[in-house]
Amino acid sequence: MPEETEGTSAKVGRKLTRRGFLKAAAIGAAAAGAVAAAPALLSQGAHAMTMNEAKPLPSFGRGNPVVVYIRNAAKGEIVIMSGTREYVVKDSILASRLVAASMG
Amino acid sequence: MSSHREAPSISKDPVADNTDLYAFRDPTDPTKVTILANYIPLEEPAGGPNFFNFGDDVLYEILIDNNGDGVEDVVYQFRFKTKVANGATFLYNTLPISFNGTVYENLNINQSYTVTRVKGRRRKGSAKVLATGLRTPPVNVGPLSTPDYANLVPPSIHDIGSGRTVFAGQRRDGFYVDLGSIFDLGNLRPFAAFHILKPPPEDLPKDGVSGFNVHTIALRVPITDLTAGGVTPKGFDDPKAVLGIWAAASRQKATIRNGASDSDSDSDDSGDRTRGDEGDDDSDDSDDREVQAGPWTQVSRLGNPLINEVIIPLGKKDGWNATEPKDDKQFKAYYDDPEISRLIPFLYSPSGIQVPPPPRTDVVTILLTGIPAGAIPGFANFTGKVLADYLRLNVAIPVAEAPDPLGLLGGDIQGFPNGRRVMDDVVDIELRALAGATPFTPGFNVFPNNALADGISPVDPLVIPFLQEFPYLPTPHQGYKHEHDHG
Repeated sequence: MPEETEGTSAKVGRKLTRRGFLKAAAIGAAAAGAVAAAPALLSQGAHAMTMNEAKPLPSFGRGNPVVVYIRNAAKGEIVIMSGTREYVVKDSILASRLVAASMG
Repeated sequence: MSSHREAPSISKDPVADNTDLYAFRDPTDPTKVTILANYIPLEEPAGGPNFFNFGDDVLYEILIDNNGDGVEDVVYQFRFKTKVANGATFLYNTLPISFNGTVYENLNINQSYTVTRVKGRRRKGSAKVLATGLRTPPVNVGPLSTPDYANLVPPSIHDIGSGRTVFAGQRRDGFYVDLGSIFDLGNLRPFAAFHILKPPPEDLPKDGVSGFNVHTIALRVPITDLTAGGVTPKGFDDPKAVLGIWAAASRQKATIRNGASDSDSDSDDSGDRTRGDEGDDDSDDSDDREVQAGPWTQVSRLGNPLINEVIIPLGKKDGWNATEPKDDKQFKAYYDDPEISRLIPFLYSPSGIQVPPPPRTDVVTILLTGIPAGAIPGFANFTGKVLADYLRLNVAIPVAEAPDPLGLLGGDIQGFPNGRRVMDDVVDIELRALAGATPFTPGFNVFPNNALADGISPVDPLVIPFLQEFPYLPTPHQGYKHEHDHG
């Protein structure tokens, strides 16, 4: 369950499922483990998530870059930021896969 | 300095660096409070061609606690937006700048801003945009570019309704202090003869801030805009009369730098633009190069002057800047036993000076809780038991007819530490207070404790020509003259 630290509703946060997010994030994963996704990229990812999960397109990140920061890979803590909002997702598998992606 | 470059991290981020904060009952309209929040330390007036301006990526805030819990109840937020008229020139202005009734003609870099008022917590409260697209004046370049500068300022003083007035732009730094002596092992020039290291023969004090500018956000609002319940306090001992006021600057948590151009990037998303896509040589494309995301994160704050400067130790300064007043209890030990109070008797041991021993409940009272009613006739700025560092302004205390720069120490109850006026000599006041030269520790309110000073006085209008009206801080220095010494 994402931990919301500012700004948006938990309802939107719940729609950021691990599977959908992984698909979105994997497209834009940067070498350093942080992702700055442009709106076009975000909509690509979000669209894929919508298709796979059959859920409404989340408003989070729409029109804004999304920055993903693995705060603590060992604990699986992933911080997702867009606009002035921030979520913390705890997912060790996702964190491991993102770290692996960052290694090329 | 008051709070100029006072902490390691913020010293590298001048655009977000609070330098001074003033809050006082307005002398031209005592039904209102004027708050001046300065940023960007030590602006060299000739610092072109990219002259100083506010940060478009910074959230500037003035915060008010009106019930003594150390938490903001009213917040004014300021966000800036810069527009470059012609990106094909390096010039700040293309001819002399004048105001044509609508815009500043020939000014190539224009900055406007939005003012938002938040009722409640700054990130979760009820926000209302008060005004947007407000113009700022040019900086004071020189006699050819900004002739008759003072007349360029009024078009940037905005009445935004409901009795509120705002201004944002460059001003001359109103703070005054002999920096060169204080940071040279506390060598106060008037007391050089008593310094343990036997400095060179006495020299005339020098204002280290002289000749530099800052950027000011000035706000004048009705007292009832700030008080709990919007009331007009009944008297100085009405608990609702005392406001806790501080200023802050925040940046978004994450910044991504995209590099010089698409072809330089080796990331997968190098072809995507994040904001705008003009690709036009005449436009300002800086937004394409950086991306910000995440919650606003406080990087600077300022309440009482000189606190993070000389009370908080190096290892805690960055943390102090990120902290809110409600959590200031964690710093109490540094008020209980201020380092500078230990240094004074050591550095000036030849004078025999002694200071009160710790714990300094007097310092904690003055700076962290305020002074309760009954201690000083007609005065109170107590906000309660919560230890919080902010300016405490009693809005029921009348405007002084003849202000004394020594404020409360000089018998002028309207002055610091009752808020802070532009002329208040906070360096001398705090030096003396830290040496115990206040009514709270009468045994130490003696010479030389009650004469400690850096020797810089604001009384001579040639030193700092404060204005007699909003925004009170003087006309900024121009770059052409390059004046940094006035004694």
